[in-house]
Amino acid sequence: MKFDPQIDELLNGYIDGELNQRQQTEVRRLLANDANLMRRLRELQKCKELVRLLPAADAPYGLGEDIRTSLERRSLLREPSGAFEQRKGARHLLGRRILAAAAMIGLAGLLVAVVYTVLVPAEPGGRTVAVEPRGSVEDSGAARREAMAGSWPFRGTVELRAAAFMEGDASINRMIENSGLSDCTVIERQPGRSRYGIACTRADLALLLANLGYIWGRFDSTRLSVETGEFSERVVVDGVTIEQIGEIVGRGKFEEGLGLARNFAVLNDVTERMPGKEITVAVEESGAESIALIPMPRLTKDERLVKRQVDRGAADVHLAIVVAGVN
Amino acid sequence: MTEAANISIDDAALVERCRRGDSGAMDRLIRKYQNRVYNVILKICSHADDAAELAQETFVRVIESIDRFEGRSSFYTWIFRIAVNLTLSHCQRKVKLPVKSLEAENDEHSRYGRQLLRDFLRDDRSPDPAVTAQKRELCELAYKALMRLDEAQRTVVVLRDIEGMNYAQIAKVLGIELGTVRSRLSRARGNLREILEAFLP
Repeated sequence: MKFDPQIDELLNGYIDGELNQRQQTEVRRLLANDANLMRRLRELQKCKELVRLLPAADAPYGLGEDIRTSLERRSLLREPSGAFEQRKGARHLLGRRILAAAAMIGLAGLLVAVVYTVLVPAEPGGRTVAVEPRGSVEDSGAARREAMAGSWPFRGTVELRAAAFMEGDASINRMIENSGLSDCTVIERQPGRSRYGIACTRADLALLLANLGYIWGRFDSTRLSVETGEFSERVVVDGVTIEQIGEIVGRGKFEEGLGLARNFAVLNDVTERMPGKEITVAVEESGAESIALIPMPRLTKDERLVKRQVDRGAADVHLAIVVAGVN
Repeated sequence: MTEAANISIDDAALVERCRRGDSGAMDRLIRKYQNRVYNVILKICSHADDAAELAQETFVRVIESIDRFEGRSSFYTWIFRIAVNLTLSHCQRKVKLPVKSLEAENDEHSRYGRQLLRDFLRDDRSPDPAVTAQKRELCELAYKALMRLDEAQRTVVVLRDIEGMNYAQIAKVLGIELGTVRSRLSRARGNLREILEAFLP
């Protein structure tokens, strides 16, 4: 027989002595007048008595000793839990802050070093390929050639990729011709890929770079590989700009050029990872005077572009330009 | 069973001495509560080895966090709150074995044991508990019936009828309302009665 849960609660409260005086009186009155209720009370009382009859189990011998051992072991392993947790949290936070600060300082130092290397004025013995502001000269070839004279042999490869391969390839071909370097260029063509092996002087390269500056933006990716001369190792500068190539080739010493290439490699890599590519923009803006593009030379009189006969022995720049489509 | 109301004597003093690093006070607290804590844990989780480990862990946590004991509740309800929480968490983690059917369990018990149970439940004269307690078979059936309750119901029954807590103390230990204790205990006893009836021959 199922009993009303509220009646059961009342009866259990009565059994457990949890009712107030008025409730107890009421329950007694009900019990006196209801045999079923009295029977239910007995059932519930029996349940309580039966559970209370269960023998009490004593704790296993040595529990106290086990507790002390456990406490000693834990205190050896760690400090008291509250203080430990707080200190652990504080140490963790401090560690993270130090790590973050160190990373920021390292990154800032790296960027400062790279930016400084890029922007610092060239040493007296140093040369810069592109030094003349756009449009400021009619013909600065003589000065440029003077600046470029007598340098370490540069060997490198520029890889250019364009979605419109044919157009890109034709542009490069045209710029080489416009720079008068056709005769000193060896062209290898394969389907979807052209290689222009150019042997020239730094002055010739400066002119070529000035011309390439007008079409550089058409390429989806650019890469300069500078040969170090050691075990066929190369320094690879992804996303290289015309100005960067000029700066590298224009350095007075091989080590300086190589070091600058490495710096540009890091700079471009970092820039590529940063949203908006702020660094390159900042560098390019702040260094506008020193790395401005050489303007396309204009014919001022009845001149014709004369194909340059470069003495292969005098050539100190060996640059391969590889044009390929985008994979 | 000693009523819970009588056991808070000196607890505050022992706790204070324990906070100051008095190992003697710590020993006294352990000795004072170890059997009761272990017994409650065992009756809830029904496994002696687990109960020993849980009792040990209870005291370790109590002593480690005694600095944080603010005294807003009694030490007695605090220690049992830790013990019961640990035990119920342990029960939830533990893989539950399938419960045997009542018929299968009935087969395991002698007719004599079930006869004893019937006499006990039906005899309104309430036989002397001391004599009845000698009947091992009766206790086994009572224990099995208790273990058939779900953990929440079993816990209130153990805290009330074995540990002897009042409803207010049970509410503090379990962190529930007083009315919930009333209704849960009432349902538990009703269910227990039904289980016991099913054991009868």
